[in-house]
Amino acid sequence: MPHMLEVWNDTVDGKHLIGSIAIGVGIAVPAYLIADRIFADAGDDGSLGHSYALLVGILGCIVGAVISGLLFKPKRVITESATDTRNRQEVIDEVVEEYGELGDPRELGSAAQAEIRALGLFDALLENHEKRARDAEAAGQSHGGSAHGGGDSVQGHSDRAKGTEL
Amino acid sequence: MSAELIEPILWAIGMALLAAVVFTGIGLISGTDETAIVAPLALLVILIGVPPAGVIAFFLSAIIAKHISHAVPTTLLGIPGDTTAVPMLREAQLLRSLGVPHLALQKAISGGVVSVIIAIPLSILFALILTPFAEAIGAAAPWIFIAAAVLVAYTSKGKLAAVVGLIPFVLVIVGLQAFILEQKEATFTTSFFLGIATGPLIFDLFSALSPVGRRSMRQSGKREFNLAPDVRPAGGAKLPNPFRVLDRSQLAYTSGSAAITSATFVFSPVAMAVLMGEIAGSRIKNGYHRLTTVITVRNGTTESTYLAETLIPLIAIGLPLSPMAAGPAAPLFNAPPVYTLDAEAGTTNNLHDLLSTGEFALFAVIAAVIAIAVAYPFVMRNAHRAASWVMRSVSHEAIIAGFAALICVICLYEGGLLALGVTLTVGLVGGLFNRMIGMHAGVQFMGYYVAVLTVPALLAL
Repeated sequence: MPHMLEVWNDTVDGKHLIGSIAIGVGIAVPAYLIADRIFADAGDDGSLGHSYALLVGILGCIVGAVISGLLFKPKRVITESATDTRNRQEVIDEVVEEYGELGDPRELGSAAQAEIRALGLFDALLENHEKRARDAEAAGQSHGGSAHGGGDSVQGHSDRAKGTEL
Repeated sequence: MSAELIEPILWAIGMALLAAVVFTGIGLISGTDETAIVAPLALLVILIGVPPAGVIAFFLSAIIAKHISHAVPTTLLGIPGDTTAVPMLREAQLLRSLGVPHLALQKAISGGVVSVIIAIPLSILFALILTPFAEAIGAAAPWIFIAAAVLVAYTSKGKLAAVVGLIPFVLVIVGLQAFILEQKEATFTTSFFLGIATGPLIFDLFSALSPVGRRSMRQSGKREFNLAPDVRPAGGAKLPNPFRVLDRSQLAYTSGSAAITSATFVFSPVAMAVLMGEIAGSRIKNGYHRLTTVITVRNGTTESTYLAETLIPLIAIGLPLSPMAAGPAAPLFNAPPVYTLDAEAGTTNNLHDLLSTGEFALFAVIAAVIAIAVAYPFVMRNAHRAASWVMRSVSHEAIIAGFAALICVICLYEGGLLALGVTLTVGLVGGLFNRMIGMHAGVQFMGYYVAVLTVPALLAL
């Protein structure tokens, strides 16, 4: 598709964008100018009539946006992923690799344990934790290394996020 | 209750309801930045002539509702709902990988609700503590603003470049103001705010118009989004109580960080959300529990920082002395001809003067109750369907068209074609600074106040 552009954080079609803006501005601006003239001619209190004209202009913006929305469809492809059918342990291993150990669910408070059971994650988390504990025992020091890696990536994330503040 | 309070209360209820419905919807649309969306719409409500009670209720309800529904794209689509949703993106994605996106959403919005309940009374309390110093703060305002501008600039992505970038940016504003004053014998405010708030959009539109700029914006095809499966357990008709969704330690961490961030109103909301999440996370040993607690605390912080940073400067000082007050809440302080802020005399005529502390408290509570009553059940019940509908039916072209038209109409309203020219100039320069050197809109709003407050004070030395 030749005309796709990224504008204001999402994908648009360049020609559709020009069309939409022409529709939006083409409806709202004349609506405002005409309303302003009518209210001024009606001899109303100046500033109040000016405000009413603004309201008419806003309605024009909404009408223009709705018409553009009806004419031009979104340029997004939505795929709805099915529930992950892979082995639960593989999925958890991936998360652990990025985030660090998820821990032993038995050490949590009763409310959190009930939540994990309701999600159907309790046995999977427990199995993963025990497997890791066994691996760590076997490999000696490797456990400490992986936990440290998780901590580092949390730090990296916070640095990134700080940049986009308000 | 006295009779003259009834009309303001009805205004507050009506406007809070309107804002709750509109902004619950807007929050579902990813990337709807608070400054770019909330500031122009708040401005609009003020200019149309809604009384102060309606304005404050509209604004507070808007931010509370938006910071509940912004968790929907963040948790279900893996794209941040707005600027303050960025810090919880990682936890949201990891919980989604574990197959529990609905839990991430429930935790985030429950954290938001709890935080609102804590932050409103505490912000008002801190405002009362600060009120005796308001006069001294007001007198020192020109120097506080320049210090704040430098600090906010240095903590932005642009670092030193954003600090030095303040010089040309302030000069552009001073120059435009002088020209406008010569032509119209009055100054503009709204068109400067609009230009700063929508700068990235204006810059992108210019860039898309230029063959050179288009090259870097080209996309190979439609963008793909992956919606998490709807995995809520059956029997979802019952509405979960936000206090039951969180366990005891999550309630404690959320309340604690809401209390702390109600006092730290001069810091950036995003930075505080990151920091509070880190502090809570570092104290939780269990990895799974850390994930769910951090997302709860971070979304809670987005609510408490926004409420405190709006209410404290409004109640205690009347000058927009917080990153939030200088950004999305800017029109509440300065929206001529309705609300004014006289730079030379240091006097104000805005919500600070028009509402008493008791009224602020009353309308804040009304706004919070209505926003939560609208947004929380809607998101709990319909998040998946709503996210899917927005992505499939609301085109980005239509949103841009609406905003482009809004910019034109508001500018023509303020000062005809000259105001439109001012918005285009400030928007293009501001958007360029934003995109190229990482000087975000908050720095630019501070720059605006340096131009109108500090520059005259410097010249008077």
